[in-house]
Amino acid sequence: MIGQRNSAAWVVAKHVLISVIAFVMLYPVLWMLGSSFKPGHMIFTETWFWPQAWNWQNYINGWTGIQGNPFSRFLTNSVVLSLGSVLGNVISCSMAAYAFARLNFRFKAICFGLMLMTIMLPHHVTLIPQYILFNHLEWVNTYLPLVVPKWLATDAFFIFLMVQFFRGLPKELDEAATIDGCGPVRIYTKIIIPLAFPALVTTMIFTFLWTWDDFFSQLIYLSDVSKYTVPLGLRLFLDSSSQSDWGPMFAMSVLSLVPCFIVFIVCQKYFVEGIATSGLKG
Amino acid sequence: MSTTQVSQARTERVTAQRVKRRYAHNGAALLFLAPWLVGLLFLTLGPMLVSLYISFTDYSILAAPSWVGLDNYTTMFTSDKLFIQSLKVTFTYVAVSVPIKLIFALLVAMLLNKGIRGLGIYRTVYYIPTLLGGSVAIAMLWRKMLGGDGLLNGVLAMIGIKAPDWVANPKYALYSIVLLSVWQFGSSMIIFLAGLKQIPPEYDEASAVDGAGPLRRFFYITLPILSPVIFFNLVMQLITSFQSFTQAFVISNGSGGPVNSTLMYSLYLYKKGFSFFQMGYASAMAWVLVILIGVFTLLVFRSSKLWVHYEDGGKS
Amino acid sequence: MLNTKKWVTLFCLSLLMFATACSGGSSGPSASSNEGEEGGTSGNIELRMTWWGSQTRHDLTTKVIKLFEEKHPGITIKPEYSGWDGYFDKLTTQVAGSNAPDIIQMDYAFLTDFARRGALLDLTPYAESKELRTEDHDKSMLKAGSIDDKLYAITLGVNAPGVIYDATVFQELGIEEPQESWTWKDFSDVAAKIAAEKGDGFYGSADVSGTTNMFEVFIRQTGKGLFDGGTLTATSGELQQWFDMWGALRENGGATSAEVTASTTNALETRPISLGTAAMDFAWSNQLLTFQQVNKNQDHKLGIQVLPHGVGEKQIGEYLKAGQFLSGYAKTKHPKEVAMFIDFMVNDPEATAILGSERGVPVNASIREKMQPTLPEAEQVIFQFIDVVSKNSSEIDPPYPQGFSEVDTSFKSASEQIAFGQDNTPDVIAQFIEGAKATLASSQ
Repeated sequence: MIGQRNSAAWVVAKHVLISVIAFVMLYPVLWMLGSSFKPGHMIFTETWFWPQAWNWQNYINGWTGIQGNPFSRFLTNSVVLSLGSVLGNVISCSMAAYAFARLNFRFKAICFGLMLMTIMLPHHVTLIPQYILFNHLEWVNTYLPLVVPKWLATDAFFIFLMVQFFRGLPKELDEAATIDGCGPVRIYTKIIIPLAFPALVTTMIFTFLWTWDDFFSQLIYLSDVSKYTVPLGLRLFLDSSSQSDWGPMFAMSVLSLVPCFIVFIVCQKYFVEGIATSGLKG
Repeated sequence: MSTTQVSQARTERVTAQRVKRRYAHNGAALLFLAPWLVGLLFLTLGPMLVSLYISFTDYSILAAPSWVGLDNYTTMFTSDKLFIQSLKVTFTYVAVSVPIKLIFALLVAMLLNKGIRGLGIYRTVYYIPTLLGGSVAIAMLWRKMLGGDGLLNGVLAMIGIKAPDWVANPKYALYSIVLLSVWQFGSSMIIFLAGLKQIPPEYDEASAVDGAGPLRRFFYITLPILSPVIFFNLVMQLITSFQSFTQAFVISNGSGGPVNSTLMYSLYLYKKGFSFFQMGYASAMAWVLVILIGVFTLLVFRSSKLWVHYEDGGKS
Repeated sequence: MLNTKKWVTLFCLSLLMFATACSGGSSGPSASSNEGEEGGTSGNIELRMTWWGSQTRHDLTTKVIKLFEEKHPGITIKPEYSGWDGYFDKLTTQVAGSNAPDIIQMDYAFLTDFARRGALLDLTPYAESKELRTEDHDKSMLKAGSIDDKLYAITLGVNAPGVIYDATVFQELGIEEPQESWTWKDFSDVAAKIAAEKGDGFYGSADVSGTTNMFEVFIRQTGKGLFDGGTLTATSGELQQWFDMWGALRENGGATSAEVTASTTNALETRPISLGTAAMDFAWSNQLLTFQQVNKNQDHKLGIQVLPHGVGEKQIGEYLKAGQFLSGYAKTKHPKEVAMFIDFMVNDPEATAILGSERGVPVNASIREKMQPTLPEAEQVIFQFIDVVSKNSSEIDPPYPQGFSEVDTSFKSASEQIAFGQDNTPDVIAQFIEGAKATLASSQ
């Protein structure tokens, strides 16, 4: 079995399989790329992605942006917002997850249940009370309503995610460290965080991308066009009731994928390397 | 630290733990939970309770709510055909998409875990559909691929099959959204990958030496160690699929059409709240959904004792 | 835990905040950033204005704002514009938070919902005191913006429903272009003929049997409005007639098949006429220009004609409609300035010259006359069409009742049910009528 697995035929078959699926996966980006060079009306009428002519005008128009707000401003705003959210989520959610996974305390079951329940309620119905709250704090039209919740671990999805990962780490490690005189804080920073790095990276990737994509709450809370982020900036090109600038919209969509690619490529390395846990497992 | 030391320490601790095991870390827990608690109390729980209150009112959003008792809940189950329709659509969607997506994501994650050149590139490529999320482009792209004169039907036409418009036909529209959600399997894949990285390579090597074949290794080593992560993905996919909104919204242009065939529960809830100005009703729907999801999640949690294996030795 | 008491206190506090937030609407809009952008004198007034639209509209509207600020040094206007997606979700949320912009671009379908629930500023006193001059406005447009005899909205552009047709295709086939006097029967014949001549995959017209606005014209031809107060007036017989007409057209290719119709969105780029697969579509007059720009066949010329007449109609169904409105926010701190700005936007010669007909034909008749000769030919066509309609139309009905958007949705759904043959037509119609009545009754 082991010998067969590495045979040439197996390797070729594996690559072919992966490549075919990869094309299906890649097609949307090719299509977006192609569309970004087409004049607006061609985007809808052509099925195949390859443009008839390479026209950079969409990029120029899109980059100029709207009303003295170049597209680079939306990009910058999104980067700042996403990074702030990433940092907040990683810190606050991993802290909460550590408590749930490793500490024993009163009301643990209730707290855990509540935490899960916050994921279950559709956010559309809490939107308005939340808006009223942030409005009273005079946070509307700032990034605070979008970032502060991340620092307060309201994305329970990530808490639950990290709880599951932390629980996959052998408890002997904690116990040994306790004997060495480490308190929970040291165990968290010296053992859990380094060992659960893949989970943290996962949280980083998701938080970055989800913040990058989040249209609805950014729309609700941001009003100044100069504070707009990428999803809002892209929608400025579109007006379904009259004319939409599909070309520039696609051109800027392609551009706005670049930071996502960078984040993903940088982060996924940690899945290749893995973490050298072997040394720690006695 | 040697193994003997660890196990020695363990026996010593077990007795001590029995005594103050339950509330051993109240202080530390409060410290670690502080951000979450503040967030829960001020940002999450308050709005949740408000929405619960609103579910017993007639609330147009534009004017103050007025108390109607259980009216919203009774209307829902007695006279709202679209509510029933949205339940049907959502159950079908969950039942079909969750298993397919998870199995697919797990298989690809195993394939892309190690032992192949260009791993990073493949992973990135496979993640691309997920990168696109629910962007405006997706709706059009999906029509271009699965529409009446889309790419797929073009290919089918070449071999002489005249296929329907997969997106615009009420028989297939929901399945085209299932396909979209499976296609965006990247997030689940990443979580599986991260989980696979936690498996110490020695485990695999040891069992390979023992002569265990790949299938055996998968079922006896990989699966148990991965089980907390599989459990997480299952619970989260269940919850998010029940709440699924964006894909149906984007593909059907917010209508849930054709003929309400893609009217997901959350989409209907959103329409009730924001388009039809019945936030009271929408909130009631939200709480019914919480109960629904809660029941299913509880079932999964109960079942987890049978198949989820934690390294920390605890139960779920 | 020691902190149980603290928990409870904290929690009660946060609940209290909501209680005050939900009831304390009277605190008014919180747009009270005193700093002002630049050079604000102590008496500087800041107004927020919101609209949706395309890039062209953003450019033109901000220009008008700048002009207004130059002429009124004490007032600054902060633009908050976006695309159409989510515009009303955001506005609704802002109203709930007592934080809506002072000046609001409003849509016909939502006007009643917002006005009846007290979210919009009553402009009547300012119209009476001439701060907001309306004497040159079309009377029907003033009526369209009034609810319960109060003026809540000023029309930004006048539109009329029409049939957009691909004149080049008509010429190619040697078929006479639609005339003002044409009837639904003429329309059906022409549509069927085009489909027959062009063959499979090309349709006479887009199927708009699910578009309430177009059905409304059909109903108006029987001598009544679609709604009377809070009830639906259309009878099952009339609905049957409407759906049967479209059903016959779907049979002979005169109208798009159920699948093609369902794959069409509101985006004009996805309409069959734009994709070069149909010769006619139903739309609003101001959309003609865009239709022309997005057409697959750029050398084709599009025309517009009034909606077909009813055979033996009691009145002309065609009507002039407000494309978009400008409204004030009920809780604005500066209602007078809001009225001043609205006046500026629709009556000032310079401002209206900047805006042109991007939102539709100007509501002010004297402005309209001055503007028309200066326009490019394509836009003149629209002005002429509005002229034709205003001579051949009946007065617009009062704004739609509350609950309209839900009725509108189920009408579309009913038409799809029929088109896909999921149920027989009489049953679908009966269900629709029953549902609409229930919705309207509970919404009033």
